[in-house]
Amino acid sequence: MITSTCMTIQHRALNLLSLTGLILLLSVSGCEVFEEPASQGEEVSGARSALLIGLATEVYYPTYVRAYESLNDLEEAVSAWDGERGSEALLTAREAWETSTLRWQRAELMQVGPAGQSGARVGGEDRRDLIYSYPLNSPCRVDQELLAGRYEEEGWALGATINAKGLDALERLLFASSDENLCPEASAMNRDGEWASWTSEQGALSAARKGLALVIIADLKRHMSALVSAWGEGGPARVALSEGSAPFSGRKEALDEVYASLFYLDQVMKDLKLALPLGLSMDCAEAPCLAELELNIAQLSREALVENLEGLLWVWCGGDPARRELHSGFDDLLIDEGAPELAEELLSKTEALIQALGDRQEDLMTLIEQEPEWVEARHTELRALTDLMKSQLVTVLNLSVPLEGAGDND
Amino acid sequence: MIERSRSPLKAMRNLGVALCQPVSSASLGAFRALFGLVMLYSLTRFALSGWVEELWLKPQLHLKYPFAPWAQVYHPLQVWAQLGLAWGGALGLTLGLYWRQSLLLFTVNFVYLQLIDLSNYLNHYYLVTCLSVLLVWTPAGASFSLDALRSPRVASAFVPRWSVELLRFQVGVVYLFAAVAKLQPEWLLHAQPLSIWLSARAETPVLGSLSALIFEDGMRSGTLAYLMSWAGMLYDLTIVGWLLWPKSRPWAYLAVLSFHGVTWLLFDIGIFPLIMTCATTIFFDPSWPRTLYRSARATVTEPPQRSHRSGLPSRLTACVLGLWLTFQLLFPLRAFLYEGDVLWSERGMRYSWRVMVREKMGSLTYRVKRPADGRVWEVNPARYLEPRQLSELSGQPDMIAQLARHIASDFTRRGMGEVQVFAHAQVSLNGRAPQLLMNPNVDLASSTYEPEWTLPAPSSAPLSPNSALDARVSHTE
Repeated sequence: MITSTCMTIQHRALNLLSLTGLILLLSVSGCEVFEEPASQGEEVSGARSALLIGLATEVYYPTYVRAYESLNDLEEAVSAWDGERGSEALLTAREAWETSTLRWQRAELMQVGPAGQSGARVGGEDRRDLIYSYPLNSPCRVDQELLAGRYEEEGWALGATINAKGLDALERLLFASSDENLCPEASAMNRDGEWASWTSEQGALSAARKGLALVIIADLKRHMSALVSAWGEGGPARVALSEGSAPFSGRKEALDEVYASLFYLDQVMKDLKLALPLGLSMDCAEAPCLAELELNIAQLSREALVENLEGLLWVWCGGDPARRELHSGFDDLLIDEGAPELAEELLSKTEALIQALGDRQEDLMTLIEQEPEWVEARHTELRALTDLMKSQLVTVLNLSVPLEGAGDND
Repeated sequence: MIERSRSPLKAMRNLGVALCQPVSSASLGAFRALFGLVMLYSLTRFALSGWVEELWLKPQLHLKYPFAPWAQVYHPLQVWAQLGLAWGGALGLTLGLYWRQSLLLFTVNFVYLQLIDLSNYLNHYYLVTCLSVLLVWTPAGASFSLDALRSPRVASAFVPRWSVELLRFQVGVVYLFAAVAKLQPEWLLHAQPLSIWLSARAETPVLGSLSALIFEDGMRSGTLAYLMSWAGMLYDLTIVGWLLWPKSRPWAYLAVLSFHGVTWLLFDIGIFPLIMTCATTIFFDPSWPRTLYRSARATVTEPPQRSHRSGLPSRLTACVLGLWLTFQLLFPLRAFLYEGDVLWSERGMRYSWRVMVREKMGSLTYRVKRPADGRVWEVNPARYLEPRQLSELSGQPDMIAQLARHIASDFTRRGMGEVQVFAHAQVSLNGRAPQLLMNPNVDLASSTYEPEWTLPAPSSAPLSPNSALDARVSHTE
């Protein structure tokens, strides 16, 4: 009797469980068919949360403010310039541009949210490309705009291609070494003699340079101001990153996006800024490829690398590296996760590179020409840093690789 | 002497007789329908989540299975057509309409799609393949199928026991070898990679809050990582036994639901929890669906008295299945024949049910040298691969070597001459400091001897939950 009752109970329990299994299956397949398994929520470890808040408030925001503020001096200096080469005012304008450009370089590793590419990055609005288009910059494209003169039209900047404006276009305008253009001989402006005819008019080129430069600066101010607002107190980007709220699906995705922004170190700094001009890249037919250097007209490529690395140091520390102990950065998170050696290694490798590159006075072009082994050694050191970033950092923090796309694991 | 030699024979005969005894066809029919339903869900997910583009159309280069170089994307429409055919097959399988033809249609297309790119390999897709291959030999359309409704010849309340045991074996093999894969210090003594994974998932709904109630550190608790590691191993090792024992079966299935529910919540392992939740129903009493639904057919309680020979598989079926079972038992063990740690070298990793047992990421750069003039290039594999492919490749030597050979041929094709290709692969396993995975002095463009590619596994301990705790304590101090 007892056995029979037990069997009945077991049968019922089994039936109930089978039914539960089926309901689970149907609910999963029916109600949440196309959603990824939920792995985001509201609770998060203190160190991860603190890192995201720290990055938004102590790193991104002050970096953008610093870059934005420099534009006022640039605007003033360019306004005082007559567009002629060799004038005293041009030197002031160049200095102001150098300041703005190097301040922007610090933000290059911070392409999170609105600075990121739309479609590729969560919350991306392409602001970075609209401010600085390297490696898509094109001096010829700027010359074409000078000749066309459409920049004077209302709303030109809104429709202009990214390489016709931005800090890289200003480099072309402020550092032109002659009145020649940098387009191919076969281009229409050279073949038909349009450029030669236009530049023969007294003051036409100078006026155009200054005019275009001022329009570009106004456009730069618009985009940088948008970034400052987005990351300022209560700004949508700051709130989203700090809280892991929309457009992020949670803090995990927010941290993944921060990690994705660090791939600038690998794909741009290592591969484009160093390997390509050194001739280590497949895209360099005959080594070295000095024309591929970043900011090679102004000869600021070494300084740009230093600023990129300074930006990285800020990200590692979660704020001003001089006051490390006050901030929550990747270093604190790694210590929290039991990998203090990794935190120390990331910091020390970054600092060593800053020191090595900062101690030299020569431009990168000169260094590649005269001491290619020294530059190759820096490239190797940078690779060691990216190796850490792409291997141990990603495993310890269990981050997702950028653009890895959706998919299953096992 | 004679008695001794006859005993095993007798035992074999008894086993044969037992395997040919009729059992209810209901569980097999339900298994077929549920399996088809899960595949329908999976394929629909592929189509609507943009994965066709991601997995097959976007990559400019597909990493090939050595035994299936012919599996390629010839045209985007081909992929969509194959997905559609597989979907149609899964629908037919679910409904039991021309179920065997449907299953073949599904299997051929599903397997072909999976064979296109080695970096798409997942254990659960392999499991789907295995179950599909086995199911086709069974009379799985005997119940709960339109075929059974429209053809009395197909309909049967009973099937030979071997057809059910076959699927039990396959599901059991998955659990058994998943447990074997966990019987190692990394998993049991260091609670890795679970500790790393749990730490990053403190925000998981329900589980995050629940763990925070129990453990001071919530999901980051070392105790939790150890508990889950050991529980996972014990679950895999024993669950088949608990499911087979009628007395423990209800609680065992509750454990199945809980275990796979938790893994589903925590990890992006797609349909694996669904497959296993459905597949484990095969361990129930074969009549469970009829008992559950109290259908009219459930009134047939006694199997017909038939000779056990009526349940005998054909000689061809018996041979094929025998080979299959042997392969399934032996092949996952091949890793033990190789030198070194399988988690590091990956030799013997695939097709051996080592499910979710390592957290491994690498940074890979190829160094290409042209001996003719000594010129050296550094090639980022991202130039050839999509990020998803790259993250799979960066820790797997055979894929790294395959891309090296492709790079060499690409250089030749571009007129850059004959080159040697070396891999600089810094790999971190379970949170350790990165270490070279590939021998940087081996020209992978010409080397075909796999053992010389890899360097020994790291001897250091992985990141430990204790070290995280210690670090936090010392940092606070």
